[in-house]
Amino acid sequence: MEFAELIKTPRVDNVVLHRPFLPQVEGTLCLTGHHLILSSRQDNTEELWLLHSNIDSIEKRFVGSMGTIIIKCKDLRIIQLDIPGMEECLNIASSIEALSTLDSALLMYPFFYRPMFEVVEDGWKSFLPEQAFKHIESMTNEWRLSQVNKDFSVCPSYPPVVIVPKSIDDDTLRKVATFRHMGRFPVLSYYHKKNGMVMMRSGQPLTGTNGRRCKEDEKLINATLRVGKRGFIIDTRTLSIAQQAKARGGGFEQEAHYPQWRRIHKAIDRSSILQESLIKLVEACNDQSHNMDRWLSKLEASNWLTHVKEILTTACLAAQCIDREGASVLVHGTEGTDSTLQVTSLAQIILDPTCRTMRGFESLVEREWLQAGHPFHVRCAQSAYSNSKPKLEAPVFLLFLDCVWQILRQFPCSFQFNEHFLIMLFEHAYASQFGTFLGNNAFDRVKLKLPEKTVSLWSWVNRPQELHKFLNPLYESNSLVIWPSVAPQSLLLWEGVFLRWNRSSRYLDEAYEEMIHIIEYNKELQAKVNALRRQLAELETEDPLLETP
Amino acid sequence: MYDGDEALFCCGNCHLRYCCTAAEARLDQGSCDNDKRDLEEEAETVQAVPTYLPFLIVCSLFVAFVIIGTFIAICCCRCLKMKTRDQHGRTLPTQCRLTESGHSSESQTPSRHSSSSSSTASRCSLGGRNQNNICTLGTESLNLFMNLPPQSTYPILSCPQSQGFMATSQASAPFLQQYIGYRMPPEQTMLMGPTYADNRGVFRLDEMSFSMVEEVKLLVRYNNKKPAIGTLYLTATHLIFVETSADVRKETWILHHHISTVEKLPLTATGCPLLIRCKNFRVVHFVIPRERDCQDVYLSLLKLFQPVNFEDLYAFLYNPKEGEASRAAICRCSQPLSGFNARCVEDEQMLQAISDTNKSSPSMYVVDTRPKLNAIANRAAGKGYENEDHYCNIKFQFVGIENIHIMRNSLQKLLEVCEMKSPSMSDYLTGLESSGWLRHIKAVMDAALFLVKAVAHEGASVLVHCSDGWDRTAQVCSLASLLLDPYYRTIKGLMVLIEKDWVSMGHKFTQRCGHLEGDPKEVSPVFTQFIECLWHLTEQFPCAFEFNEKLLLDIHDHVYSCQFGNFIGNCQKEREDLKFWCAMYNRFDKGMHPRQSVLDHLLSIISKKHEEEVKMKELQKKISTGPEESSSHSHEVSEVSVDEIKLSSPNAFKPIQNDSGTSFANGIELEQDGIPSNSDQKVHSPHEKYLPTETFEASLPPVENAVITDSVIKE
Repeated sequence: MEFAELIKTPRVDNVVLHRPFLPQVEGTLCLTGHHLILSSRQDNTEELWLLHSNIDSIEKRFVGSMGTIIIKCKDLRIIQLDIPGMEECLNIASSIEALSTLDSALLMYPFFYRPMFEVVEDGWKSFLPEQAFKHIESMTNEWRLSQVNKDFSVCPSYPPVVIVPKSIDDDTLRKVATFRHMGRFPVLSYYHKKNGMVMMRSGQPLTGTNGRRCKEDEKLINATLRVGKRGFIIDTRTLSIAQQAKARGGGFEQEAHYPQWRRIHKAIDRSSILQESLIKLVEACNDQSHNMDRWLSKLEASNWLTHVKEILTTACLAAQCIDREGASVLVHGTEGTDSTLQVTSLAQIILDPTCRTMRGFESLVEREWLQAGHPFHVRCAQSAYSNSKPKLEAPVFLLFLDCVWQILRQFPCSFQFNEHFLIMLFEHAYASQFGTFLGNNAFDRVKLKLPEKTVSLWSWVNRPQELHKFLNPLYESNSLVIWPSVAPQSLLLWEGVFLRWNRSSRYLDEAYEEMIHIIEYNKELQAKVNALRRQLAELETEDPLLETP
Repeated sequence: MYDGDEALFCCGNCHLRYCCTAAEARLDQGSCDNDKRDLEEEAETVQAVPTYLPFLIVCSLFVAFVIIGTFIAICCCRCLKMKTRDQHGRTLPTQCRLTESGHSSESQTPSRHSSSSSSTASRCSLGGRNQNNICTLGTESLNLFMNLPPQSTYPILSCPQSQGFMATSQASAPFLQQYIGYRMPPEQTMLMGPTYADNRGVFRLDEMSFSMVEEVKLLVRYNNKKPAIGTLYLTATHLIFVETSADVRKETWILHHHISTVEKLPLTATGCPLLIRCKNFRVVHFVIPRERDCQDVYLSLLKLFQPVNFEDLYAFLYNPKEGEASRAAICRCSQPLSGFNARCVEDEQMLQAISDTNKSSPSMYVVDTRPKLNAIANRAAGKGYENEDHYCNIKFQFVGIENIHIMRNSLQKLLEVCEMKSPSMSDYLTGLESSGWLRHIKAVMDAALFLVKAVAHEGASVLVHCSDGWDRTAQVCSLASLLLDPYYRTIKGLMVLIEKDWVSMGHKFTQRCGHLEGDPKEVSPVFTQFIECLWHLTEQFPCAFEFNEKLLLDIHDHVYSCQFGNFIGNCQKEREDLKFWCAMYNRFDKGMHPRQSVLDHLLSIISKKHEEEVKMKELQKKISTGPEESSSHSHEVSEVSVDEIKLSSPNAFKPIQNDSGTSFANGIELEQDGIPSNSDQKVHSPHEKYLPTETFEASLPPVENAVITDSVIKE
């Protein structure tokens, strides 16, 4: 298919662009296969380059022959284009609509994007499962790397290699896979070095209404327990939802069959509810007219912060079981691709200091989200402005980032990255020139040949030129477990994302710059003092030599 | 005859005043002197006969009014004095700059300040007169600062009441006068170029055939090939040449009376040259493109540089207060005792006088901080609000801040929310909403913003009152002052502000805070709200305040103290997203606060910075003295110096053993001591159970009898 077929009018002159907090720009609007470009054709004004895939929905309005297109983006920005001429406006609108809703991943921009920078370190190879295993191998020898899924036949949403207990062979794994939802048998998610406890994740067991059991499954998860130790199964659904799941062939672990495990149900909502919540929240944030009470009640009605609290609480519970109770944990929801990943990844951020570094966090996203099979393609197809009925869209990853931000806010000195890094990840998950977030799982990525045909986000981020923007000037490595507060008073709305386009961040940015200045100056000062001390020391050592006759 | 309690009017027929209920029977109360006659006679009977109660009320109100009037007068005087003293002691950055500029310009061109000279000053105008550039520019930009649109002047004028009256009692504050005089010298205002010329032209329009000529060349003596091109403005007092070709705005100012001779040279190909020689030996050579313009300039200058009358000399025109500066003031009082119809001519005159002090606005605002309903209810009790019909040129406005009782209950509800054992998010948000606390905070801030907009944008004076004039009025006035004047955003300024608007204006701290045993209904978190408003502002404008959340610790003072100009006149609308102030209302639930504080971190860095700077100086000194001593090749001396070093700072030698890397790491370790050591204790154990303790414990017991309880499941 040619993009040219979809572009009815490639160019319109005298288009006026309105953006939040920026002066309006008049210029020429160009449509290309992947971008909407507005340029005033003057040197000093910034051009607008908007990926079609970033467009969530558009609205048209007409006043006389002047048409107005309001573009709502997935990063929650709203821009307005005034286009002279009714026909041009209609053409542009329908072209944008067609281009922004392309279904095939192969037509996405990452396949056409050629980096303007030299790829020094290929991000596709930076965080391979083998490397993660090497790290675990250095701490324990109870686990092995299994190739059972190398052709994705056992579990299409798992990577080709997974980490499983050493005592379990591949045949057992195949049997367990038939007992777990979508073949997602329990695999290692995190090894807690301090006490050797582990966190595993899986799909729900397919017990069904007749309480089916699977000896291999029991054997597998019991193999992770030390002698005489108990473990916790954290089911991210409420008991009633888990029971309802039985009717559809799913279910939960029966106490009778898993006597060494305590099961705890938590209430993290399903993805469709999360999407509704996001839509309500963004609506509330964009409504400038309401008073204090209505704002608070709308914030409450959106339930967004309730989700944040619930997810964080569950993650803290998992971390608490591992670190405080000295017990291993198995986390699952229904499919094990959404709430499960939120919990396992957040628990690691709480427990593991390396996950709070830049590379550690990238590795975490790669391991616990991309390779663990979070379906980015369907979850991030639409954002808060979508008009169509949500199907599989859900802000699961955004909620995770929000939770990370909450912890970051409570421990501002313990993270190597800053808020901008999280916002950047949010943007790229929804629309990007990089192939990292394309596809639903590792199998998709292999089929699409992403590593060969596209550039990885990590290749770009980890260049020093980009990296410095995302570094937290306050960072000092903190090797401790960080326990965030989950009291409602401690959780705030993430203004950096939700109010980003509604209020100017000028004063906050200034303060941030100021902070960097202070820290930089201090560093310089220390360096100078140290240099002077050395100089003095040299003088000291030289002097006796000079003076000995 | 007396008609009972509802009696409001005077019929003039009986010995009572306010005796009738019917409005028809009303007599002009001013002409009725029944009450005066009765005053002595009835004094005893009034006490004895309860039906004379209204009379008593009227009398007492009258007396109260007199007392309040006296009180206001005293306050005015006091404020006036305090103001004068303040301005001596002020360390306000902008004002510092003003005075500094006075010195600097004086030193550069000594006669400039006296405004009777001609002078050249180059002024940077980076990207227009952007206020934000101010702090980054050097002293050169100071002139610019003063040329900002009228709102730039309210740092001085926005001071409440006292200022309003100060302007009426002209001669009372010579220092201030001079001060204002400095602020608005014509050179400065004139920078506005054409606008100025037009305005000024009014005075001497007959003398000037035109006001400006464009594309004029100023020949530079040493570089004839590259003349400066610009615009020539002719004003009543000065000839101003503004260079337009250069990147840096350069202006040449010549006072007409400095001109010694004006000479029109023969026409050349490039235009008509005009040679001006000045009494201070400056020679300026203009080339004006059109001959006719040149002729006009020539003729005008001839008339202007030697006027016929003494009155036309510059000294008579120099009126430092002339200009468009807003002279708006914020004044405060208590509610008028207007009842349904009463009026007070003196009060009306006083408001008129306040309004008159500010020429820039034809009318003034009267802001009643109460909700309209409350104010109307007060009318029934003989109090109320100003009737717009009686007062000329006032715009009356209610801003709807609730009374102390509602505030007290609101805080009570808020605290109940804070004390909930383990609230769900929606319990918490619903509770927060129903407490109405943030709504009240926003109402106070909105009211302050209203004042700021009136003063800064419209240049109108504002009179603020509530019921008594010491609660809501204090909140609103002090917040508005703080928004308008960067001085109050310094630590000292905040102290002055609290002293001025709260303590000296009679906020009843004792009752409101419940210091002593007393009426619990008098307790109200009025001052708390003010402090919370400040906190919201510090959150929104982190760099605009000298003080931080811990109030009297200063960051920017030590590092870049020019941060305070940022916010002048910027009354950006606060959004609805005021946050819950966890550090205040859950102050002792340490677990809820961020575990690591950016502020603490920065403060420790800054305190370290001092140490490092001291160390650096020390080391530099030693190094500079060290080589000298070693060059003297005196064995004893050098040994002594080494000893000295060892004695004076033993740790100075510590890092020497290390290489550069480790010594740097050493520094970082020091820093770590600062922050994570706190967190060491805190971080190590989770402060809250993510499961309720008992259920979590219950979920642990031996396998056999463990049953997952409902509460665990729900959780």
